[in-house]
Amino acid sequence: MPEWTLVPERKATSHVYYSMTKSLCGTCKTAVDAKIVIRHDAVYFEKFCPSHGRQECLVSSSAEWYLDCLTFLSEHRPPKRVMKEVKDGCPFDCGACSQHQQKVYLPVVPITSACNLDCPICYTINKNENAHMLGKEEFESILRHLAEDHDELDIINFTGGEPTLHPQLLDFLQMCRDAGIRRLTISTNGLKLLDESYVRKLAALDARIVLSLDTFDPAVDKIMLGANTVRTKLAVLDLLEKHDVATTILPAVAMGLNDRDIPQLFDLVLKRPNVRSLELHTLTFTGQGGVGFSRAARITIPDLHKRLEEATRGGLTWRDFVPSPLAHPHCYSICYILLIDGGFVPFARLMSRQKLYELLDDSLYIEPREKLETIFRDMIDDLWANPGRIPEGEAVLKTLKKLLHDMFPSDRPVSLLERQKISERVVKAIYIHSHMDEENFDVSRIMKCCVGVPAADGSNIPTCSYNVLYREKDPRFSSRAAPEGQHKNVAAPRLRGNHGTANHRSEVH
Amino acid sequence: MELPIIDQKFIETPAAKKGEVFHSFSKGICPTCRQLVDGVRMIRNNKVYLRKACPRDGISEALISGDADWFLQSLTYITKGSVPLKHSMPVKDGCPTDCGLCADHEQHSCLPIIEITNHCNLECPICIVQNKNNYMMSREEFGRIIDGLIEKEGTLDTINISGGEPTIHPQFLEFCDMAKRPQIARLSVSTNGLRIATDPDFCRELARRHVYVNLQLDALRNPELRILRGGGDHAAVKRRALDNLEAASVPTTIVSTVAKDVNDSEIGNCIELLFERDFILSLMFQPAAYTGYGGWHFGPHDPLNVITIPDIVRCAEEQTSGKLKRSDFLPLPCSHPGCFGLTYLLKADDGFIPFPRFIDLDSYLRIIANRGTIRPDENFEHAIKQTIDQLWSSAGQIPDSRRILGILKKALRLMYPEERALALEERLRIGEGMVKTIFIHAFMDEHTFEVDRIKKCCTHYAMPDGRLMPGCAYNMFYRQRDARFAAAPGDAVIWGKA
Repeated sequence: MPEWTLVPERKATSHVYYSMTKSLCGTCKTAVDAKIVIRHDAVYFEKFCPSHGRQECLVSSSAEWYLDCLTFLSEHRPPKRVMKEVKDGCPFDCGACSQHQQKVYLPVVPITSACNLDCPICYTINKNENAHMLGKEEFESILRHLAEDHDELDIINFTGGEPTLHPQLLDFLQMCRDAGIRRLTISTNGLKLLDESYVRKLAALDARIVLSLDTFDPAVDKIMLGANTVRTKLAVLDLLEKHDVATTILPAVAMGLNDRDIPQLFDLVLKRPNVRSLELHTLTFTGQGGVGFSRAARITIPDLHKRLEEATRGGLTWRDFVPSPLAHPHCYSICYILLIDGGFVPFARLMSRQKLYELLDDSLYIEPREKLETIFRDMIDDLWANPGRIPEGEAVLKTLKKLLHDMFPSDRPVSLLERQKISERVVKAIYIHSHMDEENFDVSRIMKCCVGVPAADGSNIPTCSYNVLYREKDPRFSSRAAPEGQHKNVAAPRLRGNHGTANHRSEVH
Repeated sequence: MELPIIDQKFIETPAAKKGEVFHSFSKGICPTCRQLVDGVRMIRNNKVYLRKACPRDGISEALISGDADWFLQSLTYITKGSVPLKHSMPVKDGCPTDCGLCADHEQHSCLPIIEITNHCNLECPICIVQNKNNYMMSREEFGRIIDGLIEKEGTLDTINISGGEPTIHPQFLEFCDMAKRPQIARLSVSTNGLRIATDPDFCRELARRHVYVNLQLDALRNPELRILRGGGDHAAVKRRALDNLEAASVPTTIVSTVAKDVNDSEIGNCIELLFERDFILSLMFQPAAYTGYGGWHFGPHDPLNVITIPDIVRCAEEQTSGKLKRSDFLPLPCSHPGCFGLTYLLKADDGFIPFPRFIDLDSYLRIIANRGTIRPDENFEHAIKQTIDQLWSSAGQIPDSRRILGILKKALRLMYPEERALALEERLRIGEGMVKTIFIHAFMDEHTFEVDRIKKCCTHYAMPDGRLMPGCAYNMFYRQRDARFAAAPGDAVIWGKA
């Protein structure tokens, strides 16, 4: 070849290859490799299914956040109870299998398949015809297994369908109280809570309500929930406030729809004293409704950081969030704020992210144990030593000193539950939780999932596995499933009536 | 966000420090049935293990990094790959069954290896291939491979001829001539040195053709060499080979396969050899991979107690009385960072100064951006100039800065003279006299194989049918059923075997 001939030049790849994981084909849900690639500062899964070809899914709109999460390392705490050996590989051996990497910190119990809404975004399957209602004996058995598997269980979540449609929910709550579980949370669309006597009963049991509230815009509500629920929910919120029921606001956020509601939702959380936290879920495309919802609505955790940053004019940034040490770092993004006169300060500006991460190492939500007292005292010392370090220093000191005095008085012992209530007057939490569907499914994440759906036989299925693969095979919830499904232990009781279906958010307090 | 991320910081809970950490999913191979199986990367005692669960053969575990900090930092020490001009295979069944390369592969063939024979005159217990002594590449096949490489790569920094033992191929020198193409900057040959030790004329032929020699030299002493390479006075052969290469001025790379508790104590001696002899340009450590012949013959082998890239770095620090430090080594960002570690050394009058001690890491990365070898192009010139500026402004802060300044200015003057522009080739030779390199290249075996790593492999075996096979994928899945070697094994004449 003569020297002067032009030599063609290789080009650089358009992305940086980071690593790989196992995902699922968006069409046939068989296991496929996913390359994790970084392009234009965002992270994508690039997948190839031999039957359905190339597929791509956005998993994080910020590579910086995605990689930052992976700098957090927590202890391996495998489940005590192993139900299955590895046969088909993750996530097809759930139950838990011998290779599951994390024990359950949040059991999510779907007590009914019935629902009184039929939301286009619903990521579960609901069944009102021959609806499943969990029996008392089954629930007893679930509680017994949970007690066997955990030295201490802080929290249990009731979900559905719509759990308030279960006639024995209050009994179940009492059983949990008797078993010594502190946080009893009910994920609900709230419609049933217009009944004040019911709210009163929930309040008496100290149940916590996780209220689906996605938007204040009736048009968006119609698109996402297929109904107009805003007014009802605001009325329910007033009742919950009246009876001082600890409440979490849970919007499932869809890009271009209710992401613009975030400022108002955050404001509501700040203003209502009984609202303890905001739990933002990124919309996930599973279940009877979700799977058909427009993918233009896909949103990732860093998008929600950005919305919150805009809403608070920098009062919150993604650096104020840390992952949960109990879950895979890409599943939860957590921020705690301290309310002070005229505003709030994120914990991450009062302590290191390392300390904040450590605070979350025992339970999914910060519990007011002695460790917290030490940390609050350190914060005070630090602010004494460097009064000008943050502009709100004075106000923070005032709040913290009062808080310490009330929570850890020197003259009398204070129960954990009481402390929790005191602290919740001035501390609020923002949890961003991202569920997976088949498109963004990541076996690394499912292996470290700490949120599980327990069954009466002691088995437990990580929620996203359950949502993507197992619920549709569960005859209690899916009419499509063969009656000889895998949950042979369950004989679903029959229930007539309850037409209309389906919205629920699981996995929250 | 800029990649690679240098010096990433990590946050660990106190419990994580004491206990075990689940890091991530990784797909590997069951060492018993050789099927692809799910695995997890676990961190404990600051080491990283790959734990796999085979539905048939149960749990197996292997050490994949002797230093969790090195492993964790290397994960974001990444950069873009380069796309070959042409792919040979369609993406059909998924990795690693579509090799190669399929369009899903993440790196071009930076280092193509042409195995021109599977005959060998040694039967090394540590050999990672199974030589069947029944195949000699034809002229026609070799020509096709060279054409194919140019078609797919455009230009190539290096191609490597290997085997078996390539120097016993009757047409070896002819092949070297055929590889002399304007698109190919360098030709290297990997050899055990037996022919070189006994045939000074052959060395002169190599020198005349500007062939670079990669000489297998795991240790300078016999007890270790015999364990790794079989019977015979290997030490004497290696000494003679070195002398002959030096006499003929053949630019040489020492390739040392390091097996835990066998020759890991020789790492310092190999480095000293690199320091002492001018014709040795670089040193390549290869942590032993227990596959092929070696996988079955070298033992006892405990997959939990093997040597990994950061272990070699640690040995280099311990055995050179501080001449080299851990911080002098970095993973190679363009390959999979789990596959290579390296450092560049600047030659001074009284020793060598590792680049990371005086050059700013951004410039350093630009130099090694998409290749393992320094290429004295405009980027390199720019990096050197920038370093000179920085050394000026930070005078006194960097030890030896005046001495380093002197060397760099001289390098610039020689390589980029003002009067005339030198050809890249010419600059390369000047650069070779001033810079030496230590590479660490980790091949994978059935225990350590990760699909993650194979996806960005840059070391490819070139096949006569036009395929370019990522090295460890070929060794794990394809070599056993390569049609070229299907005939009955031939007779081997093994040196040193009475």
